Amino acid sequence: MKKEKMKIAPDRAAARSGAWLRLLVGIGVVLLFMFVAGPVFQRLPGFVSMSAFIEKEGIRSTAIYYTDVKEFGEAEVSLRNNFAFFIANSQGHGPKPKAVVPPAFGPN
Amino acid sequence: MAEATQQQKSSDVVVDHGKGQISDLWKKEDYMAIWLGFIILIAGLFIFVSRPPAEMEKNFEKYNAGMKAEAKRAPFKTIAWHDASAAKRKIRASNEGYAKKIQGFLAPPSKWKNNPIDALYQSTNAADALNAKGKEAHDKAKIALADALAAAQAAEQAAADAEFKDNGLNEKAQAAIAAWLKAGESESKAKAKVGYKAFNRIGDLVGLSIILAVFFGIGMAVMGKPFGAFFIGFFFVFFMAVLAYLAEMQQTVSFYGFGFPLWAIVFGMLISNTIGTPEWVKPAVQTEYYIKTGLVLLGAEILFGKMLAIGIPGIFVAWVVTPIVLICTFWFGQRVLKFPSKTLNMTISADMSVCGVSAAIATAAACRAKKEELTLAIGLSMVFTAIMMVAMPAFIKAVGMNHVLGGAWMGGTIDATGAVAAAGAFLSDKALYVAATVKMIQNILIGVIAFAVAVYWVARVENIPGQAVSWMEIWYRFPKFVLGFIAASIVFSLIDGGMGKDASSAVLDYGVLRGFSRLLREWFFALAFTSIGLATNFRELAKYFKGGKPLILYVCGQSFNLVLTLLMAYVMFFLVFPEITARI
Repeated sequence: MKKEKMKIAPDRAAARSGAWLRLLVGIGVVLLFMFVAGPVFQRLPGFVSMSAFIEKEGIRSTAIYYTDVKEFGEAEVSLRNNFAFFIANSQGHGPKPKAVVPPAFGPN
Repeated sequence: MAEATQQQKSSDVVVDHGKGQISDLWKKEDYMAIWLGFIILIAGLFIFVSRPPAEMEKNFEKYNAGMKAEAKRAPFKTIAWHDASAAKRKIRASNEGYAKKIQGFLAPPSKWKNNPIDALYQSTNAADALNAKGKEAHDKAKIALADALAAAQAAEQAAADAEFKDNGLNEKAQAAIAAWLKAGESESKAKAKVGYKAFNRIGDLVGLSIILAVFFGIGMAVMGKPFGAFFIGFFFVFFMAVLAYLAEMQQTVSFYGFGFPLWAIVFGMLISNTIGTPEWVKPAVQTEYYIKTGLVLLGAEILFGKMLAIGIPGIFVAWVVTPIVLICTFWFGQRVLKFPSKTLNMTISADMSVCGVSAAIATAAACRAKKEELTLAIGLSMVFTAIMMVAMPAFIKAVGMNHVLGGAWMGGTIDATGAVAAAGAFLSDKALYVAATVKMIQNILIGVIAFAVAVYWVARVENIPGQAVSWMEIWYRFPKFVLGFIAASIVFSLIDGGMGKDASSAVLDYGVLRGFSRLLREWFFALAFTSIGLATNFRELAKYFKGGKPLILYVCGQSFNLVLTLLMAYVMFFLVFPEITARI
C-alpha cells in the first residue's frame, strides 16, 4: 500500500509539471502570434495599408455592436442631418443640387 | 409495442414539463438576469436623463434653425451648416464631467504595443513624451486646417456673390469645403495624439471587480446559491477577463479584429485543458448567468427608430436579405450537409448572416446551443472577418464599384461591426456612412432573430414530430431572459421615440447606452466567455469540427450572402431609390 502511494506521488508530480509545461507552451503560442506571426502577416500586400489605416484612425475593429464604435454614431448623425436639414430644405431654393445618380461602377 | 416505442421517443427529446411557480421569479437564472439587467438600465436612466447637458434643447433649436436657414440659402452644405452640425454633435451627456468619470471607471484597459503595463498605467513623463512626439504633427495640422478654412470661406463667398447661381463656383466651393472638412478630421486626429494624460487603471479595475462580485453575488444568494464561494472565485474569472481585454488591446491583435470574446475563450481553455480550472473558481464559472444579464443590456441598445436612418433601401438590404440568408443557410445545413447539431447550424447561420459575435451570443442563448458550439461559431466568424475586412475594400477599389454600393455590400456581409467601420472608412466617408448605417440596421435585427429562434425552438425543434404543443407548454420551455431582452428593446425604443431624435441621441444613445450600460455589457460578455473557456474541454470542441462541415456551411452561406446582398443593394440604391443614393 505504501509502495503504491509512493509510486502515485511522483506520477502526479510528473502530470502536474506536464500540465504547467503545456500551459507555458500555450502562452508561448499566443505571444508568438502577437509579436512574430501577426506582424509578419500584417506586412502582406493589402494587409499593410489596412493595418496602417486602422492604427492611424484609431478604429476599434474588434467591436461587436454598433454602440461600441464611435464611427457608427458619427455616420448616423451625419446622415440624419443630411436628410433632415439639407435635402428637405434645399429643394426649390436656388439651383437644385445635382441629383444625378452616379454609375454603380466607375470613378468615385 | 407501439406505446413503448412512443415512450422511448419521448425520452430522447428534451421536454420540460415544468410547472411555473412564483418563486421562479427570484430563483431562476433567466428571471434573475432580467432583474439585474433592468437594475442597471434604470440606474443608467436615473443618472443620465436627470442630468442632461446644460441648455440642451435651446442649443439644439439654435443649431437646427441655423442648418435649416443655410440649407435654404445655398444649394450645398455651407461652412456655417457644417459648423452647426459639428456643434450639435458635441452636445452629448457622455461629454459631461460626471459621465467621463463613470466611463473612466468602467473602461477596459487601453491600447498597447510592446508592454502590457502600458494598458494599465501611464506616468506623467510617459504621457508628456507621447504628447511631445505628436506636437509637430498637430502644429502642422492646425496650420493646414486654418489654410483650408480660409480657402473654403473665399470659395463660398465667391459662390454667394454670384447668388449661388453659378454652378462652376458652387462646385468649387463644395470642393473647398470638402477639403476643409478633411483637414478638420486630420487636425482632430492629430489633436488626440497630444492629449495623452497620466493614468492608473489598476485601482479602477480592483474597484470594479469588487462591485461586480457583490452585484452578481447577491443575485446568486437570492437564487439560493452560496455567496461566499461565488465571491471568492469571481476574482479569478474577472482577472482572466482583464487578460482577454489586454490581448484584444494589443496593437497587432486589434488589427485582425480578434476581440476579447476569442481571447477569453482561448485563455480560459488554456487553463482548463492544462492545469485545470481550480475548484475554488468553479462556483463563479457561470456562463449563462453573465451572458443572459449582458443580453438584457444589449436589448436596450436595440433601438427600432434607428431602422429608418438611411430610408427604405437600408431596410431592404439589412432586413430582407439577412433573414433569407439565415433561413437558407440553416436549411442548407440541415438538408444538404446533414448537420448533426441543429443548434450549431443555427448559431453559425446567425453569426454569418446577421452580425457575428453579438448575433451568435443571442441566438445560441435563444436555442440553448452548447458552449463549444458558440465557441466554434465565433472562431469561424472572426477568421473570416479578418479576411473580408481587407479583401472587400480592395475588391471594391479594383473594380471601381460606387462607394454607396460598396458600403451597403460591406455593411450587409462583413460579420463584425468594428470591421465594417474599418473597411468602410478605408474606402471613403461615403462608404463608411452607408456601411455603418446598414450594419446598424442589421444589428437591430438581433432582437427579432433571437425571439423568433427561441419560439421556433420551443414550438418545433424541441418537440416530438407530429405532436401538438400547447401554448402553456411553449411558455414553460421558453427561455425567459429573451423576454427581458425584448422588453428592454421595446422600452428603450419607446423612450428613444418619445424624446425626439436629438435629445435621445444626446442623453440615451450617448449617455445611458454608450456611456454606461454597453461598458458593463462588454464586461459581462467577457466574464461569460472566460467562463466558457474555463469549462470547455478541447477534445469536445474538436469533435464539433469533424468533417469540416461548419467551415463548408460558413463558406457556402457567406457566398450566398455576398451575391444576394450585392444584388439587393444594387436594385435598391441604383434602380428603385436612386434619389437617395444621389443625396448621400
